[in-house]
Amino acid sequence: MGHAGRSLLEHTVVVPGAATDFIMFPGHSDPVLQQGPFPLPKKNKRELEKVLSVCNFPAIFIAHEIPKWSWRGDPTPFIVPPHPKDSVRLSQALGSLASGLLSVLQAPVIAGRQLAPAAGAGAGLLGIVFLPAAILTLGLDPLVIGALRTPKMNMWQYFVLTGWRW
Amino acid sequence: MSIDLAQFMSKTSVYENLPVPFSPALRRATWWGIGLCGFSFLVYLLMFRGWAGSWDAERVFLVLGNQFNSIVSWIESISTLLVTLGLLGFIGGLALVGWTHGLKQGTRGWHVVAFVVVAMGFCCALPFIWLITIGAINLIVGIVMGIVMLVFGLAAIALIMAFMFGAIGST
Repeated sequence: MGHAGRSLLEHTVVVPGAATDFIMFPGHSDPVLQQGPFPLPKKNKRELEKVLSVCNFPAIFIAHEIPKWSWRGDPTPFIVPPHPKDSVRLSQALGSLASGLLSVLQAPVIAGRQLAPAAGAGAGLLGIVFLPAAILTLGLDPLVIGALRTPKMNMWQYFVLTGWRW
Repeated sequence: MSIDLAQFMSKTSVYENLPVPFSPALRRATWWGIGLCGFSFLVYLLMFRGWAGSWDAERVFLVLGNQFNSIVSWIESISTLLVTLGLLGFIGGLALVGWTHGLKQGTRGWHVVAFVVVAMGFCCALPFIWLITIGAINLIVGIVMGIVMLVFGLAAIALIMAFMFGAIGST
């Protein structure tokens, strides 16, 4: 897309959708970026580095998918990325395995719980093999959009540089 | 005006390396692991460098005294390793707690370190648990034998008294 004159996206813009809305922030005012470094998945980071090696877009905008009408309040809770699923699963699996180890130690002390070590160790192994698929928060769809101004026509051109689902 | 792509890239991090909260089970187990490492360090340092080696369990224990002595001898032979392991686990665990602000959250590497601390505590405490198990077995056997002896003793006293009163009554 493109338009003439000043950048359309100097302010926050809401793009309504059928089931969800998109909220677009200029790079400097993105709530995630204001809290600290913007987390990019490795794959998307590589993609953007490739883009940067070819062209440095003078303006960056970030679009986030949010629940319908949530932009009327504070959409930040829907924008903050969830914890990395792999790390959460790893923590849960290690926790199960560690609990299994400790139950082995407790078994001789606690009478009547002879089956605890087997159950605990089994649960730990199951935690490793069948990693729990709990997803803590709703996945969002950020998009990184680059804008280029064409001097000849004095128009801004917008390009979706990368996008992903958390 | 918005930032450009180069500025944006300089303000990014890798999503997969973001710190995540420790799972409740791992947090609880890590505290246990640190405690076990510290406890084991003190026990092995104080106990097996001192009186435990000269203590003969066979004279005190009713059963498995020989096995107890064997385990104590084995632990004595590897006590340096266990003391070192306990100390490293304890110090490492404290460093982990400090670095993660009380095991609140950390990157994947810190979660693995937490599990290693638990494993070190497990390895340190396992030999000691065997000794406690043998001690508990002896305690149970001692209580059972005490009850049996008490019952037999009371029965014997009752028989003797019955015999005596019977003998007195008959005269």
